[in-house]
Amino acid sequence: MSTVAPQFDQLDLEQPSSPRQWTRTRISLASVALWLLSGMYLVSPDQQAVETLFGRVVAPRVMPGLHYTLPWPIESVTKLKVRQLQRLVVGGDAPDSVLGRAPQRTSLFLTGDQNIINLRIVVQYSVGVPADYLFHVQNPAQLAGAVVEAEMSRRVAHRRVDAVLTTEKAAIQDDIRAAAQARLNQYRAGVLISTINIESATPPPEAAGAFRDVASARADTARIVGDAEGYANDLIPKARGQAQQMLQESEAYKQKKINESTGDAARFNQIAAEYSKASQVTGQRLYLETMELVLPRIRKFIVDKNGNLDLTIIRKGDPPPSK
Amino acid sequence: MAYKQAETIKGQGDAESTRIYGQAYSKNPSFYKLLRTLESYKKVLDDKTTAILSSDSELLRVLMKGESGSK
Repeated sequence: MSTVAPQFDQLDLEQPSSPRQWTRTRISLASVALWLLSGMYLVSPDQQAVETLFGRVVAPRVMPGLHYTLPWPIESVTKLKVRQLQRLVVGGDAPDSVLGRAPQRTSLFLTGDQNIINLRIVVQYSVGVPADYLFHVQNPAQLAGAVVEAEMSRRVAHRRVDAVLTTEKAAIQDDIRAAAQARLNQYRAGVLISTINIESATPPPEAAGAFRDVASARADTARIVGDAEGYANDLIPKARGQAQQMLQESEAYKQKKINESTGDAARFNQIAAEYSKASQVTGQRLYLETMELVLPRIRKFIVDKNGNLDLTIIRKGDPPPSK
Repeated sequence: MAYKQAETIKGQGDAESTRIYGQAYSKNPSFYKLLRTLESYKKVLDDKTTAILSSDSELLRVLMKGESGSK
């Protein structure tokens, strides 16, 4: 045991049997053991660690768990919370139009159609490669901010101001994320960008009114088109329904007509067949039957063929018989 | 458009009906005339009608002249 620390062996050689010496040796041994044990360290689940030997990286990515390294000052361990998202704001605050406060720090970009636009970008990032993050770049956050700003300038300069303000915001965010990540990998900054969010994109305060007019005109257009489409959507099915109804009614009318005429014709054919067997008698019978039906209802005067008719009787004649 | 189709279909119905009537009645036109005339009497002559019948009419001949009138 005593051979572990050579500097104490020399002390032991002088008077190894003395009790005082023995106590000193035990204290020394305990100190050495404690010093060796101090190389134990724990990496918690949200962390990763980097081990360095005299400043040189020997274990670039130590995963969570219990580990041992040679004690200080031989080796040292740096732990990083790699899961933790860190927030970085590029660009200044949005101008506050209510209070009339100018932004403290603005980030103005020039768009492709020669407009100035004020952007505020929020970058969320975490540690991608711990060793690079710690030792390769002096200030990874600052570098990430600069890279995002540069990529942003380039993207915005290729687009029209209206697109940046409205439709292409999401596309620009995705573009910048990919490009900035590639650039940071190239610099070996060890930074992993998780989201880039254009939090505000506003025109400069001097031009804000004009931009608002444009935006509201656009909204009006959309609303009017929507109204018209709604009207059409309401009208077309109604008209279709009416047309359908018209067709079905006409179809029903046709069927009814045909059925009626077929029935009438069948009836006539049957009567006519009987009539042709005894036309004289049947004709008489039909005539008389009709007269029987008709004559009781009407006022009638019977006059002799040769007699004269006093037409006044019609006026003062008895009232028509009730049915 | 739908109106056009609807009217066309109605016209087909009318035409078909006319054809069926024509076909049936043309077999015996004189009987059709008799039957249809009697039918219309029933409708045309109602209680507001006043008729002056000659005693010589088909119906009343027998009334006036006895059995010989029927000949």
